[in-house]
Amino acid sequence: MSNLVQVDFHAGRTAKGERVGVSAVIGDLKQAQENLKRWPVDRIIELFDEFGFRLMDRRLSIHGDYPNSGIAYIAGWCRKSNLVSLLQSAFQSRYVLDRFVDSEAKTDRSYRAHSRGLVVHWMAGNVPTLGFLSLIQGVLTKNANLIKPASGSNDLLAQLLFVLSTAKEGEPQSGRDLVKSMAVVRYDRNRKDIGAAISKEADVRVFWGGDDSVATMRALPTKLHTRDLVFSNKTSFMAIDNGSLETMDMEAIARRVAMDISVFEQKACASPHTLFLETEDASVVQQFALCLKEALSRALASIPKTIPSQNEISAVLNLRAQYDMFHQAWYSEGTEFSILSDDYFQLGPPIGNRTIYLRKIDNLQKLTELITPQVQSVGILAKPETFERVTALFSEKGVHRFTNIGAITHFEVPWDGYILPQYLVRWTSRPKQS
Amino acid sequence: MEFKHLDTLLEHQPYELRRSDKEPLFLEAMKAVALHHYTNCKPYKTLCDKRGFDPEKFVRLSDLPYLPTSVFKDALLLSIPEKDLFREINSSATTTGRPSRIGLDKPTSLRQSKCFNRIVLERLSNKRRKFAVLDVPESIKRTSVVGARSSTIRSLLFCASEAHTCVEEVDGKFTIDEERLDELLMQAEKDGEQVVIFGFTYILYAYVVRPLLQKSKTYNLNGSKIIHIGGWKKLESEKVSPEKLIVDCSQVFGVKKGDVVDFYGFTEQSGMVYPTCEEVVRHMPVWGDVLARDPLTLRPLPPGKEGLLQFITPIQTSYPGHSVLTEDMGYIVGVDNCPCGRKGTAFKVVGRAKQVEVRGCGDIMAEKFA
Amino acid sequence: MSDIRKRCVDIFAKVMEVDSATINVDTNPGNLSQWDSLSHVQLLVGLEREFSIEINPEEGMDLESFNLVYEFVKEKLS
Repeated sequence: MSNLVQVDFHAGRTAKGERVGVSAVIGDLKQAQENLKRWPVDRIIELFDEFGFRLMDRRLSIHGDYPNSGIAYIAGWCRKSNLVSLLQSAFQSRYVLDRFVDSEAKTDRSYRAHSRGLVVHWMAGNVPTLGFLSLIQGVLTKNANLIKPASGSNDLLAQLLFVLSTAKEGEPQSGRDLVKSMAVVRYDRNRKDIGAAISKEADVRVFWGGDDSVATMRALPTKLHTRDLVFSNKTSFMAIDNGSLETMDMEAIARRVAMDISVFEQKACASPHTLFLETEDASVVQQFALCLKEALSRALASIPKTIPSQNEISAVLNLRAQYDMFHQAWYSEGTEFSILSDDYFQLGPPIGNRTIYLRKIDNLQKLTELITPQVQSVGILAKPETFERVTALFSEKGVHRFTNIGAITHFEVPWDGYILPQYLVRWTSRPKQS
Repeated sequence: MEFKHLDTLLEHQPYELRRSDKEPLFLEAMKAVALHHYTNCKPYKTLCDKRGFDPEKFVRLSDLPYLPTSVFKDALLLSIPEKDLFREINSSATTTGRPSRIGLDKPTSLRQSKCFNRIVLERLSNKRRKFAVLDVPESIKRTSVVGARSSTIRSLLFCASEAHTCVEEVDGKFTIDEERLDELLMQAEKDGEQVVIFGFTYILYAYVVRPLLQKSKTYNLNGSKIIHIGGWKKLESEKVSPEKLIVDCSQVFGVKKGDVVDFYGFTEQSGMVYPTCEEVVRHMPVWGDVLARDPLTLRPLPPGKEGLLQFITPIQTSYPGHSVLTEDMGYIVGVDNCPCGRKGTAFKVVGRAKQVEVRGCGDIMAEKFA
Repeated sequence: MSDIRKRCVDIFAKVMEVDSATINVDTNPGNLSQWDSLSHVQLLVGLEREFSIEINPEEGMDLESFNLVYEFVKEKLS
């Protein structure tokens, strides 16, 4: 059987459905990376900044072709200030990526971070923005990058790379040169031989989501020193303490909760599915539910609805009927969103499609019992003392990330407990030269 | 319990009333039954109150709250005291593995059987005929354990003069007893007898019709009926459409296309069955009606537009199954104007929506609750 | 109109492609249909460049009306 993969993007251009040999794709990527690793990191940042700027042009067909895909978010994320601060927080000085930099901690040593070579990103879930954000970190660290998107997903990644290829056109070290070090390929997951061929060339393997498929892919053969990073399927929730409930502007907070729930139709690992209110008063829950219902309605205008799947519609209608019969529910007229409230002490179960469980709890600390390795983020609004106590307890138990309410889906580094760029480089050290 | 309006409705022939004549009767019957469920089924009452629905005051059928079929999987809802429970039926486990639980009292069970039988006879004609059942012998034997498949088969045998099976199960696999089937059909052809060949859709096509076609074997069974029931998913993936099935059956058995009948129904409204007419369209009897709802907005759709099908009928009084939203997509074809001559709402069932599930990286379990 | 306010209005008008006269204190995504997620990002970039300030994502999230934008810029510059 020939080792052909279906290529969305390769050799610096989109290539819808073309079939290319795996070794040819990898060969091209490695060659381009030999070039890329000599570029100044600031040049790469400049290109992404320009890319972000171009992406903001509403007239680009990508906006019409891929509505509600987080393109505006990517455009904002790629700004120079964000990328500089990302690299500074990962490496203190981003110039370690270019040259040896004197250590501040060790007065007699200098350090340099070299690229590792080829980073392969396996995407099991269809959140294309995530694939792109993963990719950017691989590029900033001057690696070649190969992405295998989720089966059945669209070709947004390839289209984004096309826009990137237009940055600083005509100049040396342009977007067109940059994208030669990136490829987006697809193959039948049953073709273990192709998976193995790719895996054996990877210096870093990054797996996003889909626990079953991750296990299968991880079992593929690798080089001895290959580094694996796994970002498995996760769930997230929100909590508001009693102090904040008393003083907060309920409508403003409800609006932020609505944003967190609506983005990506709740499919991201950071999307919250449960909101706990620290109160024993059912009327507070009722009041908040009504505010949230209004806010979710309003959010439909700024985050338009993606039509739910049959399973989602079914699950939502089933739960609504059950909750109307046995608990409490507030929901849109159509299947746009649902707020479900009961007296259970549990997270979820997560449904997606803007379905949120609203529960009361007498003490936020008790939620520690619900934290498992599956919990990723907690959106929290609490007075300082509770905030300190709860973040300490929950993070010890395994929560990776706390955010203010409204910001839970903002991608940042560290993610899932890892500072990703640090895993994409190989450190070398030498005596400091005076 | 008396349901005068319901009884009046059931006095009519299934497809004899035009909408304008049916509507007032139907609405009255639905009001009485909705009120009955509201009064006697506490969870249903709670739901109605939350949705601002007053069973005595509604004027449009589309205002009637609906329960999705999945809700019957998680709770046994009753509008009768438990002591009056006569039978509980369970649907075959679906993709979620949880069967629906439906509680019947004697009147509901009887009413459902009667309604079912009347529709079947109307379509097959009022005669007892020899049945060739494309299933295993156990499906027609009297046993204490009644699976959903046997239950369906047995409910049809009321209009059989004799029933013969011609499928064997060997090592967990089904095989057609070709000799037996050939014997039955050759005899019928020889005697000029009009028989009924009945099987589940996939078994009928994949195990009988297709092999016979491939062997170029045909019969001349003019006047006989081919009836089938059950999902199309497997056949769809093999690129066999309803139209192709009709043409191929007609060719193989030598029957008119209008004599190949596809029955559609679901456990949550047992007794309600919708055979395709001679124009390959399904009809609502006077004791039922159907709406198609937009999957996103949930609003009722006009004829021709595909949506989730909601079925409304007053015939079950032991449980609140009078207004049920299924997971099947379909559309209203027309009202009172089918060339077959049957009055009432005509509709088509398309099947489950074909969207590919979009998975994110969040740990979602919608399908466990669907 | 103060200089800062006028510059804010001009940025809004340019990004949303509307007449400056239509921008007032109450202008928000609810009453200005051109103010969607894409124009919001363009707005933030425009403000950063015009006033040489930095706006982090959480700050950006809170800029839900013209008035909030104006007050925010004033505070950043003071």
